Amino acid sequence: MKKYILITIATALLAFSSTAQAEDAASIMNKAHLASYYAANDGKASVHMEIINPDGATRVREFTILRKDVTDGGDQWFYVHFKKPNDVRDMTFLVNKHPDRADDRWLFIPSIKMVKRIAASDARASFVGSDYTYEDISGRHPNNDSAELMGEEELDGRKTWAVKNTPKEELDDYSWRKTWVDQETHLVLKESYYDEDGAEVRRFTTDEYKQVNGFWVGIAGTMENLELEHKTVVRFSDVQLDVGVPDKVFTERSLKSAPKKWIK
Amino acid sequence: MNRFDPTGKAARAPLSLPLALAALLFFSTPAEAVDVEVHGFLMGTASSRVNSTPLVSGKKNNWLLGEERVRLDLSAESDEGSVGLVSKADFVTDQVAGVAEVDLRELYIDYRADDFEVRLGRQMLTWGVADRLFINDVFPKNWSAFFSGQPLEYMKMGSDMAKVFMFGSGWDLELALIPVAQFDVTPGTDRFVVYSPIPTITEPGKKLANGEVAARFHTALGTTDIALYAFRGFWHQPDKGAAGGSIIYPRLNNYGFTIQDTVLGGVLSLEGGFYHSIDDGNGTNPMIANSQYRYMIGYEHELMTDVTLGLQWYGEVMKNHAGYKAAAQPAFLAGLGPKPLPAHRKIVTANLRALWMNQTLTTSLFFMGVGDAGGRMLNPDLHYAVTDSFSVNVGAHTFWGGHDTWMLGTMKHDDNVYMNTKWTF
Repeated sequence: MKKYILITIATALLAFSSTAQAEDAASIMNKAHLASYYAANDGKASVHMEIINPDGATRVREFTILRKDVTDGGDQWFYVHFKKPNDVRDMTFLVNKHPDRADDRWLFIPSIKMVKRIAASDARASFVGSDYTYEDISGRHPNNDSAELMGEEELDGRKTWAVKNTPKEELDDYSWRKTWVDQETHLVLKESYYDEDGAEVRRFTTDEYKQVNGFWVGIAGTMENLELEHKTVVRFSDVQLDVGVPDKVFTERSLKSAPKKWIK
Repeated sequence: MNRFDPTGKAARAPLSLPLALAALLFFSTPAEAVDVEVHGFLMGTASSRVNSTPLVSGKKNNWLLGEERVRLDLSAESDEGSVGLVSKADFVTDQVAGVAEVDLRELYIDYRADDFEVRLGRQMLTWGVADRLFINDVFPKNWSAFFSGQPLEYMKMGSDMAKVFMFGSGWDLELALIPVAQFDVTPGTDRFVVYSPIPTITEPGKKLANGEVAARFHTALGTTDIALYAFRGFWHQPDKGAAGGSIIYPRLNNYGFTIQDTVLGGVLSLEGGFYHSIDDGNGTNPMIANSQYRYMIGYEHELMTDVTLGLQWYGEVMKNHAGYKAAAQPAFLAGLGPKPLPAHRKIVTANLRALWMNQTLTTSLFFMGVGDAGGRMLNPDLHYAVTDSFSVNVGAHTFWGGHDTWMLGTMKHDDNVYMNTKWTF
């Protein structure tokens, strides 16, 4: 225990000495959260998702995602319109995300032209059968974790802060995670999830990122379930930020009648 | 062809002239680029009764469904999405009836402006917030498809209509004008063992005054969805009226509402409607259904990751039960009509749904119980997406209890198993 404290102090000192401005772990995670999920006021992207099982069999999900922030770091609207697979073509999700309480969610089922309000699922549930959870897609609020700076690390030639995040409420699928936050872009470049025995069980990597409208955005990423050897590779294309997605896109009308201009 | 046709492919009038004109207009619109998409599926369905009870005709046929279906979905849309055309046609080979035919599920054109849209042609509409129970969803259903295990989309049928969809700040309004009423398809005696006292059906004459009108106004108060409904048309079930030895569809008006919100992490749904049976003004005509109040309270919650339970309590309260019973009891005792319904008919449903194997496998267990000896139904169902384009669906229906002349009691010889295989493109 003593040794652990010493190491912690040492790494902390190292971190402080090597950065011009001291950064505490919580503010790093806040910046990472805003950079990853709240860039600009609204945005649009086409998403191609490959879900790959251990045998290499692949399932593909393709959808357009529209986002509009109500407040930075707070409520957000999401509109998700599916193109693939064919049996869910034109299926649409509308989500009003609330960081402090259960989200409001609606689903449009095209085969019977029905809008259905759906029970907000567990944030750790899989998003459309992929290795990403709902929380990975819409953002886990930093208030849910206690963050602790592990130090500065170089990752693929980038200077990062390594932060240990421990969920305040115990989760079933992991006990803590190590997050590498890029010091320049504040994007999460890598995240390793560990179980209580310290074994790495899940890993996220940002495979590619670029600047759009002056904001850094991750445009390719991989989420791996190391225990099941199952992974999901995501690629964003046609990423646009601050395009002025109107409020009326996030309504029942758009569920029933997709706004072609915005989902093309 | 009568409405008891269990295959749900009742003959229909060809689409109206305005639609043909509109389609012509669409295709003759020059200038703008048009995006065309073709999709569809191939589906094989087999469904069989497991009871050996012969049909009313004495014929021993256990097959409810044995068919191959080729669906072609064609959509064309102008570049900006202001004009569109959608066609969904099924080419069906029905092995049980020994026929091949085209089931035109939907065919409509869209015109979209900034604050309104018009959709003209055969189309489906689903209103209300209940699961497999209907109050404000006044559009035609195919109960035969439902009870024989076809995918849920076949429970709904399209109607030929003109629909206007209008929007304002925080509200929207749908107005449907249906020139020729389309009625429900109920399990028929040619495939099911069911109570069916009068074989002939007289539909309302095809004139403008017999058209139907349905409206839905939707708004939100905070996160609460609120909708108001109005309908002027007909009862769509064949057990609601009789005259001159034939089944008729009496007039019906409905005024209703729905309220839905997220409560304690689940979804709470409330629905109500007043079914005003116009032709039975004082509720004493034994041959015409009584007016009734319908209500539903539902709650759906995720019990654990990927496991959801939905519960519903539904009721129908007759407006003048004493008058109805006095009139209906003698007919029942004489063997000429069904057992009179209770003043307050209650239904409970429970739907337990779970996702497995990266959500490629869906299992569900749906229970419906009708109070006062109305009967029970259990429907276990399993759907597995083998790949992104190929899926298999198997399930069963089992019925027990209930009076022979009531839904679901009348279905007790119709326990069945079904299987669908579907390849989507």
